[in-house]
Amino acid sequence: MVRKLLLVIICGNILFLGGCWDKTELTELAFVMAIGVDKAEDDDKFEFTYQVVIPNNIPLGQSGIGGEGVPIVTFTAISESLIEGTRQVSETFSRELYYAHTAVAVFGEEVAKSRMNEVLDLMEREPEFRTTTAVLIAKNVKAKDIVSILTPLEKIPAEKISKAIKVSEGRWGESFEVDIDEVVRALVSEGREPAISGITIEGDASSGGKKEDLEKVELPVYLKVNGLAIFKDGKFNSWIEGKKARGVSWVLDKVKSTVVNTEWEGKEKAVNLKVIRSNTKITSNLNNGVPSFHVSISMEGTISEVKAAVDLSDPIVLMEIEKALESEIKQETLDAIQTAQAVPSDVFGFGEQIHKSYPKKWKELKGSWEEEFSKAKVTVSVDVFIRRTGSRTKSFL
Amino acid sequence: MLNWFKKEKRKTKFDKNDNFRQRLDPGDPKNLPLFNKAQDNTDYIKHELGNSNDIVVRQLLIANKIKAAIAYTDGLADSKVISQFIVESAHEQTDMPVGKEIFQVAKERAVALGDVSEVTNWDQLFPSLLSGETIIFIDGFQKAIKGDTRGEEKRAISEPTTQLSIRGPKDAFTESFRTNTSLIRRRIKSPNLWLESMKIGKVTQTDVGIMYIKGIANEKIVEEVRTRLKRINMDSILESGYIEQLIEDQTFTVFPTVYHTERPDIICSHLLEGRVAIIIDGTPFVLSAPAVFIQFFHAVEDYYDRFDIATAIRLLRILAFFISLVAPAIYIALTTFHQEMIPTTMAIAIAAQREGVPFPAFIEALIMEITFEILREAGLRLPRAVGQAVSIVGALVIGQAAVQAGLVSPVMVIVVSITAIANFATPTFAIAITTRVMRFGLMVLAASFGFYGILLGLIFMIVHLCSLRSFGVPYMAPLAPFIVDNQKDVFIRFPLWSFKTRPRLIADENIKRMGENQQPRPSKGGNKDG
Repeated sequence: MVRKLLLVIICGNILFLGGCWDKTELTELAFVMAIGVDKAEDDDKFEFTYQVVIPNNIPLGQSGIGGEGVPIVTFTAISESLIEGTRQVSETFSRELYYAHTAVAVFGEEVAKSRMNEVLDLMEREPEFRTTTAVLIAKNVKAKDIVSILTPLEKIPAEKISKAIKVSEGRWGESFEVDIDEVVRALVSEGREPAISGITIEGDASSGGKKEDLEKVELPVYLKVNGLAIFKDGKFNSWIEGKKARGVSWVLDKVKSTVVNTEWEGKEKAVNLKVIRSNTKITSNLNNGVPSFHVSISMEGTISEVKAAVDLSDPIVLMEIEKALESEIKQETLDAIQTAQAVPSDVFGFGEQIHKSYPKKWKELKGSWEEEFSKAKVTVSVDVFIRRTGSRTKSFL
Repeated sequence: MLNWFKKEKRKTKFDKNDNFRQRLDPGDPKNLPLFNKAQDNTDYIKHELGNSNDIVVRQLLIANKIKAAIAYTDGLADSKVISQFIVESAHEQTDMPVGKEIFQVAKERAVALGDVSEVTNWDQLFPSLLSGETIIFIDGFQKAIKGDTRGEEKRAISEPTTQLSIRGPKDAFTESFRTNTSLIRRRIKSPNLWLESMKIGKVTQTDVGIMYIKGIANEKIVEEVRTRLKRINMDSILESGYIEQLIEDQTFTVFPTVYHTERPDIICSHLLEGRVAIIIDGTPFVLSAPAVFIQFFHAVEDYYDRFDIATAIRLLRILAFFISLVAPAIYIALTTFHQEMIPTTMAIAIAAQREGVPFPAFIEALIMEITFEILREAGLRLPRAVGQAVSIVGALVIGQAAVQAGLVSPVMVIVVSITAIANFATPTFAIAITTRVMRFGLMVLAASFGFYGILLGLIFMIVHLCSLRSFGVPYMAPLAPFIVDNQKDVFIRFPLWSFKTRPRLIADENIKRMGENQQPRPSKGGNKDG
């Protein structure tokens, strides 16, 4: 009997050892959808902006419970750490800030240049944060402005941002989503630097965030994913934009689909290829202690637009187009690599590659890796394969 | 004076037997013999039954000279049969012998019935009389003839009301013991189908039959059923539930360890798997034992439909079981502990809906679940005429009106509804009630410990399930213990021709159930012209 009782007590204790105890109702939580981190005017402090969603103002279903008023509200706290800021906000806000659904963390350029690590530490340490939260750098504007702007289509602006990066990564390739986990890993790694997509505001930043603006057909202010922030020694260094940014994406194998074009018979951008599949492999080599890299990109695509008279039924013509496209992409990639080498900032993780392939040599190299990286010989080979030519073989032009 | 004396005398004579009723008590071995005179016997019957007027007593003469009497219960016995085959037949007898042969001749010739036998004492006589048999007393014999004239009013065989099927037989058991055995016998025309019968219930004297197929059923299990049934010493057996509760292995469990059904085809398939059927007079529900857990998820149609469809539906049913078990618990756990697990848009949607709800999620869920259970119970018990009223009011309570009143959130209504629908999808009612009970336990666990609590609850449930036995057979068989051969009919219903063996543990001997090469295929020669 005593043993049985003991068994019951022990088994009962299992319930309490799980550590799952505190219950919180959904209505006690404030979902922070986005965080903006800027440098405060006071030098030692950060300015945190929390974009909190107001659930009742999000239209639901067809009957539309709620839907009046703005869907978000932002709070700003000036403090030395994120956690302090979080607690500070409770003075002005009736609910507990909840980060599990935070979609984006936007850092201002100033913070990225100096103390981004400090904030990232909490984001990685705190279990409530998802390490899959996307990280972005506010380009030319304050992170606060980015977080405070209202967007069309997506009711929650933070969602619009995270979707926009995903879509642009999947369709265009000049920017890509980087989450907290990747940033921290790149920061920690000696042979790699983070490259983080930038976000900016087009139009008048100061007038953003008004609900009336959303009612206009042509938006006066809107968010735009643009450029890649290159880091050096864990600190923001410079922006890479346009084709060069896509070059970085090619090397990092982040391109899922994009459009590449080439001139044909003197006509600019005459042939457009819709890339449907792309794969990048990096191989490293050490020749007498000098590292060299070979980037081989292979892709498959469909001819989507032709602006010149090209006979696509001729396989030889197709092969020529493939060649032309290959050199185009190769140039793009080499440009990107050269820019990174000029900084120098190893955003491609070449150092890691060496570390993996030649762990012993890496120990010698890693002390002076920046220098080695800037001098490294990088060759690029591209293989384009045209899978289809669309519904028409001969252009009517 | 003489009459009075006679009465007195008779009274004293009966007084000796007056403690007849005490014989209802167990352990009284008194077997009092019948009286010599027919008149005395009928008087005694009247006396013992308190002059109940449904006991018909009639004096008659066999072959116009031998004094006799008959007694039967009106309503239970078929009076047409009695008048035709006993009364008329007795009158028409012409050459009756004399002396001791009278009884034998009367039994063999005068009573023109199928089933005729002798009774010598009152203990045998009363149950026969009260189950519709006719007792014939002949003057000068201390024994009586009993003839089977049972012909009580009974319900016609109708469609089953509990386990419906689209394809499959539409007949169901009725309240009549004989009809039920005939329904089984009609399907299994094997001499090996044995029926043992006994009377259980000291007062009710209910007919109970054990049916099994000799040579397929495990002897040990049959013996176990027999022993457990014989152990029952109760005044009444009114429904198979009485028997079920008195013979099940474990009382303190929410899981049914004896299967009950009103479908003869299910009972037949169980018999053919080696199970034992227990038929109880007065109820259309026949028991089958041993029962295993997974069996409660098998609908009869699983075997009538083709295997791929049957498998898909069976899996759906098991999914429905889990939904009905954990859906409200998961809702509570998600909204109060694991908000991070809900997709963002949905989390915000739920949060918006819960904005105006005054109760915590657990209370909200509890209110709705209890309301639904009340509604279901009301729908079950109420007179059919007011049924519509309940459905109208019910739709208000669990529906838009409750949401508009701000008492519950729309998501909760959905959760309760899906739980209810899933619960209805369980093919056996016995397990459906179980999930209803356990659901509340899991809700409490979810409200206090989140997913952790739900998981502990489920683990506890599985441990408990594994500890159960039904007539010595592990309840979780063939999953625990894992029997490879019998996996063909657990979650996935394999093609019928692959069911080569009967379930092990249940049918011990004679495990093989079909010949080789049962898979249909075109004949080797083939029709080359076609």
